[in-house]
Amino acid sequence: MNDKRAGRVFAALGDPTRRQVVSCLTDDGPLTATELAARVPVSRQAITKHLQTLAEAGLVASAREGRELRYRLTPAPMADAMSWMVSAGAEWDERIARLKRIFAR
Amino acid sequence: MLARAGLACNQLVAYHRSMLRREVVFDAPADEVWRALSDPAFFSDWFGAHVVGSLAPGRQIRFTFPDGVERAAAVEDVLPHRSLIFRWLPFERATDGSTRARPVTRIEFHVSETAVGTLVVFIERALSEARAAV
Repeated sequence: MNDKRAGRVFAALGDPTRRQVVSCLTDDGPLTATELAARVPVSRQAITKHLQTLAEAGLVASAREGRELRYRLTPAPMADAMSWMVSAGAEWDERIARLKRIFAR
Repeated sequence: MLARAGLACNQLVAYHRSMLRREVVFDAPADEVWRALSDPAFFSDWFGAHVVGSLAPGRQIRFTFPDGVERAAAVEDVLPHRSLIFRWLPFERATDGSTRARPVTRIEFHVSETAVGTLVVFIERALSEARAAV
């Protein structure tokens, strides 16, 4: 489990526009930035920036198609992020259990 | 596979919105709870690390974990008897002196009294590198 990558995934998905982009790629399959701009209410330039952030988090990959790049979702890093959530959650549950024992004395 | 990705994304978003969040009511007076959360000597009893440092904004607290790994956090805000916020610094030091990059998360404790005990909200939120620099 790579929890540095998990941080990037959370940061990437923390933005609602990026979540919309991920949603479109999930529903409609691989899309170009132009096609995404037709579906998400921001400029094509903004879409490209968001795609870059998603790519840096390992969540999208691209392949050249003619003059444009076509982006597809690569969801594996979400599993890392989920693992981080589960193990960090377990850590907090242990801390809380210890606190409860302390106050029970 | 993509349908699962959509589900995972929604779950992650739900997690992210709630961050890592635990709300616990302790059967103890608020000042006792606050002391456990804000006094490094007491903190060490439950956090899972030996803690040294003063909990004041701008100061650093140093954690030594049972396996010998050391990590520091920067205290961001303290509202006595109400809330404490600190942020992990982005590296840890192993027993051989080597350092390793770690993700930055912000931890918050919020304390309030209720009719049935002292409520503490524990939050841990993963920060992006850009925001971590703030």
